[in-house]
Amino acid sequence: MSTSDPTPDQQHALAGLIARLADNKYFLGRHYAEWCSGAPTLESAVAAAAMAQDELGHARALYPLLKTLVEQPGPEVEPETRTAFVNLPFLDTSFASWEDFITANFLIDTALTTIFEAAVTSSYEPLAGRSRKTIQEERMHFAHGEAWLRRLAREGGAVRSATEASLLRAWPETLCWFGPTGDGDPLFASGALDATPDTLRARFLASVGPTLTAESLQLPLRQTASGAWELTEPLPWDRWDAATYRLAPALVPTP
Amino acid sequence: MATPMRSGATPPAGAASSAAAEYPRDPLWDALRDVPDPELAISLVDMGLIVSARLDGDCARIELTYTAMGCPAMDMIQEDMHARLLQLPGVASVEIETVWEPVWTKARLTLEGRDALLLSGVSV
Repeated sequence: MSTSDPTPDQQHALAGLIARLADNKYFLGRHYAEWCSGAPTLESAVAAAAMAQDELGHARALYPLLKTLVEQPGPEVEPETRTAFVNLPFLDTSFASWEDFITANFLIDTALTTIFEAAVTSSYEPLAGRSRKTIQEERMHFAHGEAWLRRLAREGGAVRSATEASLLRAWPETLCWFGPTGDGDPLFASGALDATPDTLRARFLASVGPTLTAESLQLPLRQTASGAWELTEPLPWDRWDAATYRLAPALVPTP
Repeated sequence: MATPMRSGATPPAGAASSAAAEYPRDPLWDALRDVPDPELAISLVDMGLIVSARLDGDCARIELTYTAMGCPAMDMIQEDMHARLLQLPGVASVEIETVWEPVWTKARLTLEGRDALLLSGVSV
């Protein structure tokens, strides 16, 4: 897509993508920051502060793009006055535990990076330029999340169980966040991203799968004989909202 | 007054770490050499934050990058640049555009910048 002649659908899809990226970055930053003085070690507290600063910077670089992509810029294009946030539900509230922090760090932050990696050659140049810098800064985030995930998994007992539970809570919404299965994705069609949602999901699984499997964490994925990663359970598309890319809460069966 | 110098004037990202960047000598760039990074004893130019500088009529147009997208000193840096550039004869206004390409790496440091950072105890 050239930025001069996107179709209305493509323009709408691009605005939605920028909003999703910015909102998730914004809330990742805010929730990381809440652990600057509460992380389990001094080093991870410093890392939380540094990552919070990075995420808020990424959000700050993205929000201004909304002004050029929506027809009538209003309060919804400014993070301070925005109310219709489209972040993942996992980020709706503060992290209840360090395990939740690491789940967001390892799963959600990596999912966002998967999108930025798919936007390095984006036809939407403002996103391409920001993506390269973002990816550079995200390398440390992934290293932090991966190292801590291994550490938590190896603690065993309640810590390991809490880590698995946290990962499982974020898992379906993170996987669905890439978008629905099948062809016709306007972001891929326009060249805003270089892959379909299915390919993005596969790339994400290839990023997180090796660590999850190496630590025998019970997530519904497996590696095939060809080396590819695949899900072993269907995603809950019946709960997915195409407008926000969010999952509605799962219904709890009555006893 | 100033020659437009875009990213091609500086080492590309990923250049050998031993390489040091060099930037133009002209009134705009020299004025920006007077503006220090608020956090380190090093000028914005030696830090490699200035991507381009050119005079468009009486407007100084600067492309500026940062070491990090979450740099907390963005406003301070731009205010200091405004103040210094407006002291130049023939400059009536300043337009600063933040750019994220080229991606900042240590290859954008000048030799003077590297020495200053080393003296400050920063590994380069």
